[in-house]
Amino acid sequence: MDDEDKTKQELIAELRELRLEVEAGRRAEKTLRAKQEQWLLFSLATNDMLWNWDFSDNSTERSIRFETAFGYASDEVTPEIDWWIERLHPDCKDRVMSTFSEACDSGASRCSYDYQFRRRDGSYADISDNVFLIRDAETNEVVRALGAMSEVSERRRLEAALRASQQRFQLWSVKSGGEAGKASRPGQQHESRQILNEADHALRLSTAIVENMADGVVLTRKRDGIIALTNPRFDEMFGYGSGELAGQPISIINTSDSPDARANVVQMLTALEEVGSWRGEVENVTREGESLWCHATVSTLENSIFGTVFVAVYSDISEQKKVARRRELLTRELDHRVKNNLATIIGLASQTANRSDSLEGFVKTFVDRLHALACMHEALAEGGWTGLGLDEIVERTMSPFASAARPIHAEGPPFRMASSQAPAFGQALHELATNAAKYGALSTAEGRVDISWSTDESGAVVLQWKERGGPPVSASPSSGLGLRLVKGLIESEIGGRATFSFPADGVQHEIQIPGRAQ
Amino acid sequence: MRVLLVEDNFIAALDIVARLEALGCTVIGPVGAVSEALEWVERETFQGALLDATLRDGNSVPVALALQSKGCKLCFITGYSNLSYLPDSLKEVRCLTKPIDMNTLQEVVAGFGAS
Repeated sequence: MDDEDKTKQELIAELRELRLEVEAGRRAEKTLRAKQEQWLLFSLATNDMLWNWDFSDNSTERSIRFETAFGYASDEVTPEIDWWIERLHPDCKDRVMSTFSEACDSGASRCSYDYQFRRRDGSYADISDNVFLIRDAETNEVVRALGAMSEVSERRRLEAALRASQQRFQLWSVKSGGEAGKASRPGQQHESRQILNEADHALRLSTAIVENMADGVVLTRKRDGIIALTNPRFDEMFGYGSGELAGQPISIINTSDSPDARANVVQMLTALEEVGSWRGEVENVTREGESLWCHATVSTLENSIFGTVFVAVYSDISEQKKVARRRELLTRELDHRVKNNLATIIGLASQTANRSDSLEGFVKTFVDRLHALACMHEALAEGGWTGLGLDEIVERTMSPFASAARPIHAEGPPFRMASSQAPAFGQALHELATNAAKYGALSTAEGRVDISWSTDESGAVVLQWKERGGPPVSASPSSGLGLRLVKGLIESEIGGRATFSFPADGVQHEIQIPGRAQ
Repeated sequence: MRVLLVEDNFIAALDIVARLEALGCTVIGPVGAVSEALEWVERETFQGALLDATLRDGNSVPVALALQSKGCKLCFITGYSNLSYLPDSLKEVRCLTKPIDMNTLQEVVAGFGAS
């Protein structure tokens, strides 16, 4: 019986204990339910996305806002921590993870960071995450982390607008002598509505400037090289329709892959990485595949909508490039001409010297020949090297030999001689006139020279030189330098033909210049 | 020594002719056009040739190539600072800048004579 009593009492005690345990369990359950209700209420009461990461089993509890704020279905939000890590923007991931682990190692109880978090539709939300670290009392190791993620896109946009407004306002107040600056006295800056209004106006203003500026502007996303935005001038410069380039890779305006072009791009990206900006000349390509040289100024900018972007301002410098090329060509041509003229002068000097009896005779003949050369050069230069009328060549070359008492008769249809032929032709005429002045019709008061020419439809011209009233023509002076020069200049230099005849009553020469057909 | 002179600046060419003759050369020319020069190259042989690089009907590359294939020694004369259009086989050909220095011309002629 004693044993029975004892057993009974033990059983009662056990039952009581059991009941106590059940009660404790019920209480615990009640507490748990209350806690869960609290968590739900808290998550509903705040706009933040709350999370609770338990290091012991690496699971994470996430508030319902994760679904509503980012567009995920409830079964798409899973408790693994990787769910969150995978949705961090690639550009932010390393920074966020290292900030977090540094905070854990440092013994801190809080940390916070900003990053971009991927929504279900693939776009990114700007997030500011405030984290509370719970540590083990003995080891001080982090055992849990709790955080509140708040979306800051809207706030950032307003902040950026405000900043832009203030900058433009300062600029404006400098330009207008401070009048506008008074409107942003510190006391009024707190009137956010007015400032946002200003920000709005400033944005409209800067938008209008960008839309209407003469330079092309393009915003390119750093992470994928996709064009986010262009202004109308940029589209027009490259031959695209307005807005057509947005969404295209920026490489669409790159020239076909050449080592030079690639080196240029590498240099640009390095500069952007290191100093945040780059300026220089780039060769691009239009929609039609034509080369377009531009001067580009590129800088890096953080943008709440597009992330890190390259902002580039392009000005078309193809016209300057063309002018520079033309100048280079002209300089080269001028250099060529100067050298050729020097060679001519040296030739004239040595040839004239060979045939001169005296220094005075040499100087006169040589200087006269140089004058004839200079005279043609001057006439061509006045006309911009577009050629010269035959009548003008004759008049200019013969004028030193003409006088009121003895005019030179020249007659013929309009004919324009090319710049490349006129100097040799003028020099040849000069030699004929010099001979006439020395031995022929121009050596007497009564003598005269008639010059006439005719042209045909091919552009060929035949010029007749006839002398009358001079002393009787005796020997054929074709051995002299003068006629040798005439023949060489006309035949070798122009590709024409010079024939001389020596009737007793006056020489008759004929010069043929071939037409375009030859 | 027979030397072909292709040069369309006649007055400068006369001077070169005189110098070449003084050095004992027999000069053919001056010839002022590519077409005419090619006719000469086809008809005759020369020990050496002085070629103005730019003539009134084109550059003298075809003349140079024709002469080179016949074993004739060459020298360009030009008013331009560089002749970018020369083919590889003519890149090594000596090039005198106008106006021509007569001592240099003497060197070139000596080179024509060397075997």
